[in-house]
Amino acid sequence: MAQTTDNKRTQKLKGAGQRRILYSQIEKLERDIRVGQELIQVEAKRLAQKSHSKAAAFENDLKKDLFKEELALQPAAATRDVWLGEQLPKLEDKQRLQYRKLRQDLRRSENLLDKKGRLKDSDAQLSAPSKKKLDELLAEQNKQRDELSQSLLRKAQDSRLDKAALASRQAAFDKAQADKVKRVKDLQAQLAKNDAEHMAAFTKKREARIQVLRNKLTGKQARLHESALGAQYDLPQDVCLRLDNVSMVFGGLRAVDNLSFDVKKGEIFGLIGPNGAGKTTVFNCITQFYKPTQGDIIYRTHEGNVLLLNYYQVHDIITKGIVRTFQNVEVIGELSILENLLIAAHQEYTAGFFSQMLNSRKVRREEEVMRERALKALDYCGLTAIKDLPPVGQPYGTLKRIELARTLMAGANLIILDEPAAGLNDQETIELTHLIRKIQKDYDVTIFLVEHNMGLVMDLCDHICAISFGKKLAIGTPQEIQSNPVVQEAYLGTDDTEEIIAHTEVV
Amino acid sequence: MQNQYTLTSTGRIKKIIRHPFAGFVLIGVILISLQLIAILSGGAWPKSSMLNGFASVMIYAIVGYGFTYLLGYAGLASLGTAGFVGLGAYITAYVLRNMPGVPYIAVILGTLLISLILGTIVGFISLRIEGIFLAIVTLGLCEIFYQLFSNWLDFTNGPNGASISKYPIFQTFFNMSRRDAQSAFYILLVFITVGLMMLTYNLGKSSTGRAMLAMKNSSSAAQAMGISLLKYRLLAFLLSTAYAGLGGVMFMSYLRYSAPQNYTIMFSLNILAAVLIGGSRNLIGTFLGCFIVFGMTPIFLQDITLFRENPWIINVTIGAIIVMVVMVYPGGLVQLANNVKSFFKTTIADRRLYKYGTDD
Repeated sequence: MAQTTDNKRTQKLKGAGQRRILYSQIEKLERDIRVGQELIQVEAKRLAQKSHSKAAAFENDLKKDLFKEELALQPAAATRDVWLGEQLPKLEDKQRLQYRKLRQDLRRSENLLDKKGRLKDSDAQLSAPSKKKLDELLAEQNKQRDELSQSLLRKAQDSRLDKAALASRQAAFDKAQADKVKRVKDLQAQLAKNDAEHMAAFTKKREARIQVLRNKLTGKQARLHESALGAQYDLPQDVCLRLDNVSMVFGGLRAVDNLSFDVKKGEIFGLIGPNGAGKTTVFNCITQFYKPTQGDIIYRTHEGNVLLLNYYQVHDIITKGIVRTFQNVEVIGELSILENLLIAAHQEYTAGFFSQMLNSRKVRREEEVMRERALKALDYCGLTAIKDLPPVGQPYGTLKRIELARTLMAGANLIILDEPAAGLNDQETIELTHLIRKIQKDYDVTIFLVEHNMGLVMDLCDHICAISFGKKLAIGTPQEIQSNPVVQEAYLGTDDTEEIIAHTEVV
Repeated sequence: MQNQYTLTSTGRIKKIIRHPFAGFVLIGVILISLQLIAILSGGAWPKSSMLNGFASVMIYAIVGYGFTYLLGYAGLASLGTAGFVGLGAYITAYVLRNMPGVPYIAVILGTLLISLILGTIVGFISLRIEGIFLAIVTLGLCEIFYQLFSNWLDFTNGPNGASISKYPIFQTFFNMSRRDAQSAFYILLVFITVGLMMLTYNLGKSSTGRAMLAMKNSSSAAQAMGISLLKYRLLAFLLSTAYAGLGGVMFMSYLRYSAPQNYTIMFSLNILAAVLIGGSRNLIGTFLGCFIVFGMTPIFLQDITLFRENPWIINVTIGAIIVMVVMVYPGGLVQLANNVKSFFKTTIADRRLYKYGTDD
């Protein structure tokens, strides 16, 4: 690779600004189209749920009305059972409290309790006379229940109808029953019709909107390709990210020194190096937290556009599909885990400031779309059970998974993991390894990670780049890196190769 | 067969009570009913000084809601609030006195616009810094405003203070008597306060509020998630400025007099204290905080002989309350409310245990 000079940079700049604007507009349009499509799905789902609950409530009301009728037709015993079902639980609750109160009083009189009312000794037994008293109470309560049952039966028998009346009531009931079924069906049909109409109108409106966006998009794309602006940075098709002679200088310290490497599309790429080698600085340069002092960072987006990342601001990086995690887990303590994921979709919200203040329909719908998406990501990472809790106080492994879920939420193309296994125990590390591999397979993303845990790196990565003091030492497959003497030297010092090999195997 | 169709109405009531706006509406209803009682009883109770007290609590609460964006959401501490409130008040006074034809809504919108423009300029300069340095910069800003208010005689009438003779809308447009206009404006103020509570709540729950919170909790995570720090800092600052400007308009319209010494650094600090006492993000808490800091004196403390004869005790009492709240409940009144709730829960559980013993 040729040395990039400042002069070359300025040449590259020509027309780049305009192209950058076009790219951003295209990305925004694509996001809006995606949200629009999801909006239709969510609306259909919401409508179906609403209609279902409406029909269920209607049916419930009808059933409630018919229930008395139905009861009157039953034999007395069945009516008694229903009444008993209503009244017995209340009585039983009352009796249980009565029993517990007596037991507590007896225990207190026999000095078995402490000040708060707990048993002093959990095995302590009441004396025989007290037990007898309790048994008497139980017998009394049994009698009460029997009495209730019998009185209800008598009442039910009293209210029985004679045969003729019964027959006419039965006929009326059957009619009402049939009527009920018909009405419920009518309502369901009506609701379904309304829903279909609403959905058709909604879909039409949305699709018209999407079509407008699409037209705009094709226009922009045509403009991009027709003009000379279509010319792109030189990047092979299978490369996702290229660092081209990147240097980062802090005062007198060269934290990253002329570093160049390629990250291939769809691979897991590892960056290793001893403490202070400048690994996190490389990450910060890619995500534009630091502007590299020198050198280009070239990136191919999901859509195939090639961008020079140096020109973007740090908060624009996520819109290009690059999402990072942090070494010491940056989650938002004041938000729930679900809302932490919604943060990652921040750039996709289109509702304006005032509609947010008024909580307009658009805002609510959009929120629903994002929530749906977040729930999917949470489910994928196995966090559904704790979605409404704040992340504060969760174990470290969970926090790491929240960060991973956040990258999925943002629709990442390139995921940058800064020491994913730091602070995890062995079990958690294994789980995380599985999760990372699963994500890479299912979402077809490129993963770029820094890690100290050599087991994880060697297990997971397709290619590894080893750096030391900001300089590249070696690049290759895990086996090549493991057997590379320069890397071994940087990690462990110069002498005694056998010990080095033993060490590498242990780690 | 079993009767499973008995519906209870408690579910519906619970749903209403749990609605986030229920508390706001409750505050509104209480405030309006106080005014109605006063009208019905011919001013015997509550006295007009008490109602004025509640009105000023509402005005300060409006300013406080703006401040919750800054302190509670964005995590910035500004001491320039007083200046923007004063600006709103003086613009209102100037326009209402010198340009009688201008409609009141135009006064409000114009004031907001001027506040926003000034806020943008100040924000662009000052929001690149944060923490204690921002506080110091805005402290200077507050002092600049104070000097302007004291010395720009044509605009503010200097230390003598600016005043307007009539209540806007109700006296100028509807020709009500002074007393009626005051009651009507009080009710308008309640509606504005409750409405702003709802709007503020909505924005806080939306993606904007979340973005600000993310920025406060972890600026690097926020940036990586696509949140522009400057944009949202500026937004929070502008919101607080706009609320302060509106508060100033209301201050002038309802109390009809303001002097430069109303807008010293004390005012900013009091707002800061009120929001902190409330729990910095809780709107009902902010209202109660404003009640403690600004409302206790006019509403009931000055009716007590001890306090009336020794006004310094009032300040000491309020100061002591602030110190107590901040020391014992650093989370503000919200935390206090939660503690009270859990206290009742444990007390009831203890009583059950004493009376009925452990469940087995």
